[in-house]
Amino acid sequence: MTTTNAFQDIKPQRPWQASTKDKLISSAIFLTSVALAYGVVLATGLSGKLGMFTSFVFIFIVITAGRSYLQFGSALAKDSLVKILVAVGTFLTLIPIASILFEVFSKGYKGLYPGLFLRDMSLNSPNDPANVGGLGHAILGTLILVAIALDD
Amino acid sequence: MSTTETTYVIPEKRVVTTKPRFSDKVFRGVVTGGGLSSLVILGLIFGFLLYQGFDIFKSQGLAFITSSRWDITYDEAGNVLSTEFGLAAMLIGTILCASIAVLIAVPISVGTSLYLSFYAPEWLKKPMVTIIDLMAAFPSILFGIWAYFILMPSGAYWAKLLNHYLGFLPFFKNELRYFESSPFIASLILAVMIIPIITSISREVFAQAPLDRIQAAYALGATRWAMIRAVVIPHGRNGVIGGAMLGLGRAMGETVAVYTVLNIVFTINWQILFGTGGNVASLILLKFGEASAYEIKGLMAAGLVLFVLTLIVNFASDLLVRSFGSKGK
Repeated sequence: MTTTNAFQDIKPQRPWQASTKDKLISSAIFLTSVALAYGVVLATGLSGKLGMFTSFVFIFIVITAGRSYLQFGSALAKDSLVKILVAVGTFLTLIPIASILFEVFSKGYKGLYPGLFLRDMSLNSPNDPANVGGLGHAILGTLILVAIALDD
Repeated sequence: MSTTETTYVIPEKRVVTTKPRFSDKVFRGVVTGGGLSSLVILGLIFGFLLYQGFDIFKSQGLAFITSSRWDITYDEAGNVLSTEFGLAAMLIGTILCASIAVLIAVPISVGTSLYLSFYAPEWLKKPMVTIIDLMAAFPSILFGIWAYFILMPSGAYWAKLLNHYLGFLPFFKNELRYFESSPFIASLILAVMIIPIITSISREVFAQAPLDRIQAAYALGATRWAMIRAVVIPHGRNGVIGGAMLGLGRAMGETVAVYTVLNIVFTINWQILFGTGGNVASLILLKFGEASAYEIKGLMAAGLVLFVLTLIVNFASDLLVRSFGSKGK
């Protein structure tokens, strides 16, 4: 005898989640804005990454907020405007971090080698390549300083 | 039948006292000592700076704050002939850079913390919080070098754009067309440095917004922005102001990053795009290495001025936070 659960075929509905159609529309808006921004960069005096970024944000805001205004009215238009502004703020926060991490790793990876943390610079001359000697003295000193400061 | 004599023993009166036990006293003493020690250290720093800089304050008087020259002449034996110490350019530069940095950083930080609190999907939230906290822990010399090599070219380009389109405003004038090492670029790097601080403070404040009111707002049909405006912002305004003031304090005391970027010149400069500026902390770093014993006294006096300035900002922020004392609608 097999028991069947009467509810097993019923999928929970999540009407607040974006449907596939919504996702398609929003990615289409995104791509259109990128293309239009590129067009603006080609056609007008705005140039470079800054011009591309500003015109993209402006066009994206106009399209998205305009669409929700026409569809749902001013409250949702404001909501989508704030959503974009907030995301832009986050993007601006992340740019310096990404840039710093990228520069540090892309410029510094050549100096990384196993002895870096153990050896010191006592036998080095100014013209040595990056993988002679190491940071051992500096790391030891930092550890000592921090240990005393925390111990106190 | 025998009568049993029951004697009632009246117990001694229980002594109720507020006198603490010995162990309590010891603990209280240790904790009070720990709490007061920071105050004592602060007082000692103040006293040391005042003691070292007293001669300078006596000889320069009010000109120490109002003039903007830093000259010291010696005779051949190395004795000090005449001195002229004035911090006006440095003070104005410090306040200018720090306030521009806060103006740039606060909107970005509030946006970021709102995004992290209410918009970001869960899988994105945790790594981003970690990364932004990591940024708060970067050493300031790293920011300085990054600003010098990476930010400076872009910053000078943005400064040229600002000058080209908004050059009619007095702040954006730049007659000599020198855009590197300007207070504008120093403000940018200060903004980058204080964004993580303001972001994490605002995020914590926004996270404490009362959940019942948030859900009530949603239940009444509010959009996310309407909910934020009605519940989160009134509740979190104090915290954001406090975070901004903390950022201002950090920006005013920042030494190495500004020293790396800024071109320190003893002229009062209100044109933020022009490549001369001043900063008290960086001045001390600049002069300290080769200062004579008398000039070091001048630097100590400069340190005292910066110390007092930071204290004033902190008290002002306390007052400001208290005057916006409402806790939401």
